[in-house]
Amino acid sequence: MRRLNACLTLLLLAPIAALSAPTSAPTSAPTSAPTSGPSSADVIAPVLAALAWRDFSATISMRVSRDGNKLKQIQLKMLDDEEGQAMRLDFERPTKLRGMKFLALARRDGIDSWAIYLRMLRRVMNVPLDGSNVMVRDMVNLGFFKPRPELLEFSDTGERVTLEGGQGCRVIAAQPKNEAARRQLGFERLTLCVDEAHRVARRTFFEAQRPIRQQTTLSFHEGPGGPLPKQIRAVDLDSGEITEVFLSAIQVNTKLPRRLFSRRAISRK
Amino acid sequence: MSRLILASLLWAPLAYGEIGPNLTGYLNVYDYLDHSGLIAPLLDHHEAADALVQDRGGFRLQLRLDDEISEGIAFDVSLNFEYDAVVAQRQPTDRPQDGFRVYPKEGFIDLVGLGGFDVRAGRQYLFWGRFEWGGVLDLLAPWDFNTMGAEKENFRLAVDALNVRYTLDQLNLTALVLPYFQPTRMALKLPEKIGPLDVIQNDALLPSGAVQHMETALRLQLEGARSLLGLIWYRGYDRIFSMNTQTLIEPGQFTGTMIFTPEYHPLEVFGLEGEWVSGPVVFKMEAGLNLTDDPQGDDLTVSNHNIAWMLGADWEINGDLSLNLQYGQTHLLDYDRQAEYEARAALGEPDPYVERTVQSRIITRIRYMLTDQLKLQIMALVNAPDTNLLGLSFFSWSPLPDIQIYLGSILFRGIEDTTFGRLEGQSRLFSELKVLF
Repeated sequence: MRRLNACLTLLLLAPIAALSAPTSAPTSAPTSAPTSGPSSADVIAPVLAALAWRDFSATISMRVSRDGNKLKQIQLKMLDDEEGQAMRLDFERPTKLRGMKFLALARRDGIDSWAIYLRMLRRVMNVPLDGSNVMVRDMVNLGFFKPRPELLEFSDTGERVTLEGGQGCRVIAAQPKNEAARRQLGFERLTLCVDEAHRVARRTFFEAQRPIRQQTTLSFHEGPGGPLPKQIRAVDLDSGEITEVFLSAIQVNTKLPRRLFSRRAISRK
Repeated sequence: MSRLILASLLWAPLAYGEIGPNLTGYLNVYDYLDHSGLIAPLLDHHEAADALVQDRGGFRLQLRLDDEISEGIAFDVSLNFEYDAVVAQRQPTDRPQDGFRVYPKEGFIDLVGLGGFDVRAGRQYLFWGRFEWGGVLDLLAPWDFNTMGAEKENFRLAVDALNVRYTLDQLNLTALVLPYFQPTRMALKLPEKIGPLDVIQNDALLPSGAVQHMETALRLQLEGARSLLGLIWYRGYDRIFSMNTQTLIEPGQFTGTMIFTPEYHPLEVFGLEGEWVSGPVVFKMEAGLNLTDDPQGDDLTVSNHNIAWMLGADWEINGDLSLNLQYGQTHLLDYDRQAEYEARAALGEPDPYVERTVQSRIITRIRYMLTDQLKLQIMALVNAPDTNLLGLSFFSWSPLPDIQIYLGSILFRGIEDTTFGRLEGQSRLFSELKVLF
């Protein structure tokens, strides 16, 4: 599961990273301390407002490599129901993962639940949220493609950076609201470089005791529901693993049936 | 049914026109020959003749066809083409082609959203209860102890069933009908003589396919965000046989015959299941009241009423290591062990084995990811106090994404007449190469 976890992590975090630009600067997390100013809700409100889609589906191809060597390639279908705060991943490739499905259900009160259907076991299993499965954990918790004010406290650092390509970004920091949220999220600090013109995060940094991951979106799908990530690159700063994600067959606001997002649904065809 | 599934596999693609269903599968080369002589001190090494009966070695090609035909209608069919070279050599009269067989492993149609109902009809795996191993409510999918191995699909059996599910918010209701009974498969080899008595082993007596022998089950589950509570009712048959013994003594002589007939007896179960996720641990419980065909507890051939329960937890220690621990008990009701012993001895069984009034079970499973490609799993199931155990351990190595190699061991130990004691001859090392496509 280790590699898979990493991939899941990327997937679920991708949306936020995907709100980023085809550049690579800055390469480390801005370090400015949060300054007093607008409330957490005010800080994140413009970002949330820009993410106007309600649901989407996409085919995702993911390639994991290290030192130029391909480690894994995975293809899956993602269904995301933002209104219901639900995400579903149906694995298609490689064949040994085919039939596996992952479901994450979030609630506004922060009580989330995850489940996985393993075809090999023909069984839906509850997945612990705050095990040491850090990559999955923070991916899911961030990964409903919109920042989650119920779990995070946002603050404007006041810092501005310019990304390659010339986009100006405002740096927003986020921290878990409480210890329970911290355990669930699995990180201690998140830094978003938010494009001031488009009000979407261009780059995301994750920190535990130190920076652990950096994600950049290389291209977007521009649709009626606002920008969606199309090509993402994530670097695990510990292992050096690079995960590249490409979304295709993106469909936005198709009113995905709510019944697709249940434990029962992932156990059937 | 098998022919129906086979036919559906063949004609289903025609229904599509240009858009075809998904065709996937695998080729598996397996070796479950008895190499236990290599580690004879650890495994019971049995006579070659016995080993030949138990051994398996050959290949299996599985073709799986599945797709969603239209909104709310889907199918999934898996067909196995298998050649077991050992089967073709069991008797001198066996021919090479006797080792080849084609059979549907799984095959069902899903109808989704029929007024809130989901229907799955056909051959399907049905795993009830919360535990992978040793659950007291895992009543529906028979075991196949003759084909134990690394993958569950090979040692559990799909059953033909009509499976109807209804969901209302957090409530799930499931109703099942299994039209005919399928027992757990377990090798049984009796000695030719017991003392001065000749032994005759009859074929097992199975419930007929009559309507009144259909298995039925209901399950009501209440799902919370991180918890689950369920009630289960099942009426059918115990999938483990009871041995009916008849002793015929010739008048005035010390010779005679013992006739053994495996029988399957009615069973009704009222069960309770629960699951709760807390931190990195998933806590689980199952309990069942098992009502057998022996309300007075005086039928020697039928298990007594009993209460069984199991508690356990899955703990994900870190991304590479997970641990499962379970403990449970079975309490026989209305049971007089001494009287049972004396009654069976009076029938001619020398020193008969009789069950304990309270039996315990401990299960542990460790999964460890040694590298991204190499995984180790160790599972042990121990029944006490008449210790008998099942151990299944294996390495799983995936050098390429769609190649899987298993190297492992299966260990059955225990005194005679216990479930795993009967299976000691099945202990062995095994290897499998699986190529998926």
